[in-house]
Parts: sequence; C-alpha cells; structure tokens
Amino acid sequence: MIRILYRELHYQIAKRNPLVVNDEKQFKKAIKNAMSLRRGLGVQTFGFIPFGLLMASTFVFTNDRLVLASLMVSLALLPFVFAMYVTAIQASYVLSIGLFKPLEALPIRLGSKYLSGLLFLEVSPALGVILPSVFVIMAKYPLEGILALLWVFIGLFLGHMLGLAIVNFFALKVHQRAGKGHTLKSLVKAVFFLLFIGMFMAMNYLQYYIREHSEEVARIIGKYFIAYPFSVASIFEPSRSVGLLMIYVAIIAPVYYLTLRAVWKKILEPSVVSEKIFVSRFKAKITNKILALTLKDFRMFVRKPAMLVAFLIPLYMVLPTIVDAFRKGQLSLLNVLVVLFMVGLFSVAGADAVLKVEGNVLELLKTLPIRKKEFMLSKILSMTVVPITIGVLIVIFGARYDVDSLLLLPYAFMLPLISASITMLYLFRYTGEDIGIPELSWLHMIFMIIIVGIVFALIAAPLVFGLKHLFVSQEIALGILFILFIIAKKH
Amino acid sequence: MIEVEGLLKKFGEKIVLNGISFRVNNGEIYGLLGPNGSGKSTTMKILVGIVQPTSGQVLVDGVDPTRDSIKVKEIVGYVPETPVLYESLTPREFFNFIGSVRGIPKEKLEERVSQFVEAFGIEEYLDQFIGTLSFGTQQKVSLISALLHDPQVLILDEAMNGLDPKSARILRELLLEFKKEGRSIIFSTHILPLAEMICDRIGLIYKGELIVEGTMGELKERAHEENLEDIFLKLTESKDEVYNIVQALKGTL
Repeated sequence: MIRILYRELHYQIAKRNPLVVNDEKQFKKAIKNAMSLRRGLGVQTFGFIPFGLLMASTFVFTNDRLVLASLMVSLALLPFVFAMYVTAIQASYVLSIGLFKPLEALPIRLGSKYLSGLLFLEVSPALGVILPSVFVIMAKYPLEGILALLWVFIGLFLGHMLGLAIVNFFALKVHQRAGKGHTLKSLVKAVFFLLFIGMFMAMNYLQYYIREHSEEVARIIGKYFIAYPFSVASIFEPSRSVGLLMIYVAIIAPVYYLTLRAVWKKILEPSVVSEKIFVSRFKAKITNKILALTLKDFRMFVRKPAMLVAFLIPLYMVLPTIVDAFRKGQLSLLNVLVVLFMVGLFSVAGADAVLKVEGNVLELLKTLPIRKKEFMLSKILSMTVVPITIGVLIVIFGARYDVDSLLLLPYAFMLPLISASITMLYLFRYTGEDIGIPELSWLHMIFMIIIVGIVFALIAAPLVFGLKHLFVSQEIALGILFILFIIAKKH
Repeated sequence: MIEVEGLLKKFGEKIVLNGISFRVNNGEIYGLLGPNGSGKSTTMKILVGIVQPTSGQVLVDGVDPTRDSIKVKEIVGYVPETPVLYESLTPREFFNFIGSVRGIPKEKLEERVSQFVEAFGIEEYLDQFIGTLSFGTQQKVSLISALLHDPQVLILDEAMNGLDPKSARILRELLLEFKKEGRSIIFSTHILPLAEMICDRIGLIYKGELIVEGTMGELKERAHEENLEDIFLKLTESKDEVYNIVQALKGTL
C-alpha cells in the first residue's frame, strides 16, 4: 500500500513539474524514478551523504566522551526537526492533492498508518546526513553507537509524531465560514504555532553553546537529562540510556497510536467548525493581478498554518539574537546585520511553501490569463513578506539599543527580495509561457542557499573593511536587485 | 468561432486524438459527445491552451492557443469536468481573485457576480470555504467564475454535473441566450436528451477520432435510429455489447 501511495505521490509531483512535464524524455525519467521506490529513495539519500560525511568528520577527530555526547545531543536535533518539518509540510500537501481520497471508501481501520509510513519514507533520505556520524561513534564505541542509532530513531519518531499532531490540530479542520473572527482565530493559531516551533528552534541555539561551553553544558544536560535531545547524551551510560529509551518508547507508542487514530478520523470526516451565517451583498475588491495572486497565497497560509513551517527558518535565525539581547541588555549593529543576512539567506526555504500552496489547483491557474512572469513575481512577493517583516522588526528592535540600526533597514527589504528572486528565477528557468509548479527538493534548496550565499558574500564584501562602507554594500545590493529585476522582466 | 484541423495528440506512444477536425460557428452550440476516455476533455483542454497538441491547427476566434494562449484564455470561459477551486478560499474571495486576475472592472464584476449568485442560489454560501461546499455548489462556483468576464467562447466540459434541476434549467436557458448573442459554445455531456435538445450540431468522438458530425436530423438519417442514445450506441459499436453485458450480469446477480 505504501509503495502505491509513494509512487502516486511522486507521479503527481512529476506531473506538476513543468520542467519535466514539457519534456518527454525527462518526464519518462521522472516517472521511472517515481515508479521505483528504491531508486527514488536511493537518489535522494545519495545527495545527502556528502553533508553527512562533512558532519561525521567532527566525530572522527573527537575522542573525548563528554564532547562526543554533547555533539550527539546537537546532532539529535536534526532527525527531530527534519521529521517534524517533512511531516507537517508533506502531510498537508499529500492530503490537499487528494492522495487518500480513494482509500476513504475502503474498509480500512487505520488508514493514517499508511500516511505515517509514507511520510517516514519521505523523511528517510535525511538519515544520510546523520548516519555517517552515528557509524563513526559505532566504530569507536560499538554499544554507544547502537544506542546513538536508537536515539536517532526516537528523534525521528518524536518529530514525526509532533508533525502529525500539528497536522491533526491545524490542517484537518474544515471551517464552514471565513470572516474577521475566523481570520483572527487563524492568526492566533499561527502565532501559537510559531511559538511552539520557536521553542524547538531555540533548543537548536544550544548547539553553539554546547560546543563552546562543554563543561557547563554537561551540567545542564545532567540537569535535564530526561528531555530529548539532552537524553541522547546518556549513550555513554548504557544502562541509564536503555532505561530512558524504554520510557520514551512506552510513552511514544500509545500517543502515536492515539494520534494516528485521531488523524484518520479527521481525514475521513474533518471536523466542521460551524459559525453563524450572515449573508451580505457581494462587493468587488479588485487588485493588480500579481497582488491578487500573492493575497490569495497569504489567505491560504493563514488558513493552513502547517504551511507556515517553511517560513520559520528565518525566525530561527532571529530567535537566538533576541534571547541574547534580552539577556545582555544590548544588541550590537553587527549582530543586527548578521541576523538580516541570515534571514535573507534562509528565506530561500519559503519557496517550498509558496509553491506547494497551489496543491492541485494548477489546472485552474492554467485556464486564467496569467503569464509565467506574473506568476513568478507573485511567488517572489509571497516568499518575501514574512522575511521582510521579520527583518523590519529586528531593525526596529535593534534601534531600541542603537538608533543606528535604522541604517540597516534597506537590507531588511533588499536581501529577502534578492534571495527570493534568485530562487524563483532559477526554478522558473524553463522556456515557454506556461505556468507550472517546479520541483523543489532538499538538494535544490541547499544549492540555492549556496548560490544566494555567494551573492550575499559579494554584498557583504565592503563590510569586511568596516561598517563605514555600509552604503557601498547597500548600493551593490541595489545594483544586484536591479539586474535581477531586468532578468525577471525579460523572463 | 472555433476551427480545429487535423488535431493530433499523443501521450507518449498513445494516440489520444487522431487528426480530428471540426468547426463551431458564432451563435452555435456544438455538442462534443463520446464515451469516457474518448478524447473530449483533451480536445477542450487544447482549445483552452492548457494542453499542447502534438500537431494540427486550432483557432479560437482567430487566435492560435499554441502561439498566444494568454489571449485565448482572455476570450474563453472554461468549465472543467470536475471543479478545480481553491478550497480554503470562500466563493466571495474566489470571485474577487478571478476578477482581479482577469482585470474585470469593479462595477461589472459586482453586477455579474450578484446576478449569477442570485440566479444559481448560492448567496448563503458566499462566505463558506469552498472545500466545505457540496459538489453541486462547487460546480456552480466554477460555472460562475467562467462566466464573469463575459466570454465570447464557452467551453463546457460536463458542466451540468451535480447541478440541481433548477440550476440546470437556468444554465440551459443561459446557453441559448449566449447563442442568440452570437457566441460559440462547445458543450460536452453524457445527458444525451439534453444534447439533443440544445445542440445545433453534434460531433461524436470515439477512440480519438471524430466518427460522425452533423445536425440531429443528419445523425438520425446516417444511423437509421430515432434518438441520440441509440445513435450513440450504434455508432460506437456498443449496442450489442450493452445487451450482452446486461445478460451476463443478470446471470451473476
């Protein structure tokens, strides 16, 4: 069953990819990949392995058990975040394209187990990043390595389960009526969702801290040894680690089963939130074509908060700085600058959400007089709204400590725009006027982060010689933006 | 006017449309009929510019969709066989979205939405999410959105699906009105008495080929049958098959 669903999902993804669907050879190749589970997963895993080897090199040259345990704690965040991200995003997508519709009429008791299995397959290539490090530990300390492996799976499972809970809580409700009240509720939900994810992102911040202050961290780990990922540090105390693993399994198993039941129940019959009906006359609100497309995207984001996950990576960049500023009571200009560059760089991740938000409605868009260029521009706008807002807020926040922060405001606008423009120009590079949803894999995303990183390095180059060259740097950014604008116009 | 000449469409090795040709004049309702999978929807999608033909010539009001699909999309109102809509938008937001994308003036959009919403009786659903509406109501939303820009050419792929009798009647009358105004309409349906009633000419597609075309009178004469259902079954070589299948089923029931 999972094999069929996997094939169908990847067939649907290939069908929606204009780079593939308009090229018979490519389409056949994509279908061949989609049809073979082993080949599909193999290709993806292979792409992750170089990054895994890079990370494993740190483990190769470390023999101190305390440092290894601390490094393992930070590494353990990866399967957790991957699983949560992929589950939340991909489950919404899978359900929006109606992958489970054919199963609804069949006598299946717990169909969500197939959704869960399918999503696990989607997450599994990410193990290519983690497993090399685990194997290094295994080579040095076999028993501890096995325990590390088990903890990686616990992390995967925990993230996956939380992802399912998010989908269950946010994505599987059907509101009968929109309106101001509903929008407010959705926004509140989205904010809570952001805070919820932010909590885990903040945990990742500890990763830096761990490396810098391993002694101090060991004390903290000791204090919070029960909570994941701190619990992973227990691998060098096997009996304690096994005990903790058993406690985790004992808690996760029933919660997972209950979550699966709740998810399947809601897939079969999404809970309908009824609200009072008040019929009012239709009043037209006309906007520009590109703005209408962006506005539509945002309406959908607000109503599907699970899609917001992709926008949280820039938020994760901001969080440690804000926490640090509150702690120290100061926020330097350089800190604000670094955060703005990071927000800009990682706004690449928003591409995933702005493309996937279309779900199965591409055919409708294709019947409308929308040029590829207009569609692409709307996606650039949709991608930048959240990072620009975050950037502006951090500049304003920075101005509380140093009013010169306001000089950095142009970056808050230009960097996400540059990042989004490069990403979208790359993804929509196919010829022809047809609009489509280009495929965006993790590898594409990493590639785009590298390209945008190089462009940002160019912008930041004058700053190496001091902040007095701020305006030169901003002029370079403006120049790049102008060039991108010309390219987009000719697209 | 719609002109189709030698239209060929292949999906890989499979020939879906094998050189079909037909013409729909202004002020004419053309019924495009055929069994499931015969190529009706593909033909319609090519006319709208969603699908590219392998070869052949298509002109919609003098515009070639393969060369200027945007222009064709401005002229055409298209209703797909199953409604394709943004489920998390409300019909009100969706109509505003369509109006903005099509550049419909505010007053005109207001007037047309109000008229159609009232005609199809969906006022009370204007602020409900489309995903929560019944199939029939979604079909009405899809239909209204295709009519908002006052299209010169209408391409309706089983547009009557899911409509209640009152709405179906309203749509029928609307189509006859559009015809009077000189618009070209292609209409596909499996409700053969309806096609018989409103279509000026009918084309029957079978296995990717247009096997017969003409007015109702011409089809009757050609097939020596009295109604469209019998004509359809005879020309698609299904009449004996239907009889045999029913006999076999009776045996298993």
